Amino acid sequence: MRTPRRHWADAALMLPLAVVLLGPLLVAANRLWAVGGVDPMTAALGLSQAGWRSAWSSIQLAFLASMGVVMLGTPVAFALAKQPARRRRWMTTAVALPFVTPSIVAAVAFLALMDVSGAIGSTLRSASATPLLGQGSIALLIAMVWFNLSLVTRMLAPALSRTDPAYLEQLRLLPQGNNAWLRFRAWWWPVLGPALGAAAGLTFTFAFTSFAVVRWLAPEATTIELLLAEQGAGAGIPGYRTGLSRLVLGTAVVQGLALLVAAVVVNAMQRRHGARMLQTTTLHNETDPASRRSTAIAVSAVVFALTPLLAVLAASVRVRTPSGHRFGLDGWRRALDGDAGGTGLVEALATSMGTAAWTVAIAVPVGWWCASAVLAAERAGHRRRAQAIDLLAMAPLVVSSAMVGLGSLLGLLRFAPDLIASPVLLPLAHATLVLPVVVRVLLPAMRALPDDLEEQAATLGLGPWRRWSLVRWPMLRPAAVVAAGLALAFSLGEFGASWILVRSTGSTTLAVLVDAWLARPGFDATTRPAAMAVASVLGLLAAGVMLGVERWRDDRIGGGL
Amino acid sequence: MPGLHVQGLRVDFGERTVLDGLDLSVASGERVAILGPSGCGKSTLLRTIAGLQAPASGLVMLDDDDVTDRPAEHRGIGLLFQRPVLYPHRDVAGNLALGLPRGLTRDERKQRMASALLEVGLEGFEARDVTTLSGGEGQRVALARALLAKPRALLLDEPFSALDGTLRRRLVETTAAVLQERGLPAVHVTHDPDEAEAFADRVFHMEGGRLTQRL
Repeated sequence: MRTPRRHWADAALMLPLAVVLLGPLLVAANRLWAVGGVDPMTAALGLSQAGWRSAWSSIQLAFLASMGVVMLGTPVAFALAKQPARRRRWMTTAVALPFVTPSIVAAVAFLALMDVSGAIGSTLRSASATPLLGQGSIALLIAMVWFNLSLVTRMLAPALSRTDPAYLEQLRLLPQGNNAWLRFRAWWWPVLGPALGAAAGLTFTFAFTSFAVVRWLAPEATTIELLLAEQGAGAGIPGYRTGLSRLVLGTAVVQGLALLVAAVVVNAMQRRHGARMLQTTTLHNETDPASRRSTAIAVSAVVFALTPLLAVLAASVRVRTPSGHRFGLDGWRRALDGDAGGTGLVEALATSMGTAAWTVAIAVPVGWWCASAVLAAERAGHRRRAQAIDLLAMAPLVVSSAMVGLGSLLGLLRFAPDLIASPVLLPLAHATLVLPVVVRVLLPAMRALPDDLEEQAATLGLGPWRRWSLVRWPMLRPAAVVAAGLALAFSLGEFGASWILVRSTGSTTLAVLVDAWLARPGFDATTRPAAMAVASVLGLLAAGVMLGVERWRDDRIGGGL
Repeated sequence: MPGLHVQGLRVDFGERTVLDGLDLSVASGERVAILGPSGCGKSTLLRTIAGLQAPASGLVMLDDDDVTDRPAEHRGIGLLFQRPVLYPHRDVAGNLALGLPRGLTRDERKQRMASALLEVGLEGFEARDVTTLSGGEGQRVALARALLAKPRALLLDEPFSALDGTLRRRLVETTAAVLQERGLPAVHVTHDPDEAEAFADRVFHMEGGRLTQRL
């Protein structure tokens, strides 16, 4: 129920949003262009060997992670769908916990696991997935799959558990469906393909821009994100290392193009998946009895999801001694004390919570408006406008968090140097980064809401505000809660932008504190347990948020994050 | 003996017995209808004959061939569901193609699909989006697809129940005529006694998991 005037208002509001979302990037690009002396495309085409090496590393890593997630996630999704409804619910939640686990926690979790798993751990530490990615990259890929597995299970869940079983039964009775392969080709592939494509595209994006896990698990893998985060701070300074400015600009362009392709694929696939789900979904919620094999696969997936998290908790109380190790709370005490002059656990916790709360307060209303504007344009038949707003909201997914951090920093240095130490800087950067997630949760829910509900309310004499408060909001509240929960969890664990901006704002978040403890030079038996203690708090917080919002999830709306 | 034969069929759902030693014989070219209240086991009987539901005991014979333990996909029995199960990602031709055997040339496929559509009164519907079809058109496409598969028997699970009276009567007559021409044994379950009479050579009533013939 949008009037033409509202459509114009939406269009007008796109401009400030575009400035906020794209501004930091344009400022960063402009500055690097000015300092490096070459335009972005020339910088990308003229990349040095180191630049191409980092680009190729990122592509290899993201591609292998996507393949791994699809290959492992598909049987897990089928196995979960076979479980009885109640068991399926908690198993799906357990498998989804890694997705909201902060990347730095994932990094320390796998470090902890490699520490305690003896020969397997040391093999993993030295094993390479490809020569370019170097030592530790097998562990890195396992961590990537661990992280993103729930993207596949979440996206396939509605198709597997809610599509009308008659489609498959009918196919079994026809010549073109009389074996499993033919049924997969004629039914499962068209129904699941778009969801798998979207999950693979999102995994590609997340793996391409991952920073903490690469930094700690496969230090030889110099990906673009690592290069931008570690070298970016030295770029953009007039007269200083101009080659570095060109390298940063060129790799950022290559990264932006790769992620743009991934975002377009994800967008198209989600649209197709949503449409197909609406056509094939029923209220059917029964499954055949779970076979032993499917239960074994589902239980293995739950164990795979939980083991690294439990390993972090265990490692926080495991202190090395000259003769082996002992159990104690030394690491927790050290983390709480802040180790003489450093940031303490409680202080970092307060910073993280405050930042996350502000992030939610900014990202959810903006995301709600974006999703509403996309839907209004779709329903009015303005497909291009809808796609433009949708892609604009997805823009932060197309850039790395390191670039957003760097762009914010450079932008402020140029336009508002007084704000450089402002406490709003971090929530703004986080809100920018989580906006795509918020929109991806709200949009399918809004699309699933029939237009005639509000039209019926209007014929009953309800004005716009009452229609919103009595019809629209109550029906979309679950999706809004899930979006807020995910925004909270992502902000709590965000590392790349925080790592760059903490230098100017001084706001040490829990994620940055974990890294600081891990990076502390020299051997100290309680340093690593202290890092694990902070990581445990961060992991538990994210898990708590996830469990809190889980009961609000409704997978009938086409799946998604 | 040619035709479809069910002997002593028993199906339990937990502690509830839905089919209790049920017997039914349908000769080739014969059409039978089964009447009965909701939940009496009519659909379960069809699903068990089709192989979508495993029986606790009993036999399903098709032309002297015991198919009781054979999976649904290898029985050669067609089933029309209550609503037309058409695959929304395929157009009408794409849905019909699922009923054709593999290895046909493109021209053969086109020709068979065209004549199947003609048989059910939907000539020229090949390129139509199945989501735009009416209920009656959808069921006729499903019927054409089932017949393209050259089934050895056809089961109809109230496929016309959602249609209005005139259309329903016309479709029942069309389906009965097509089945007669093909000489297939057919079992049709319905709530509607008039529809049962119009379709079938014999009408049964189902109660307590067994069948009794209406005179």
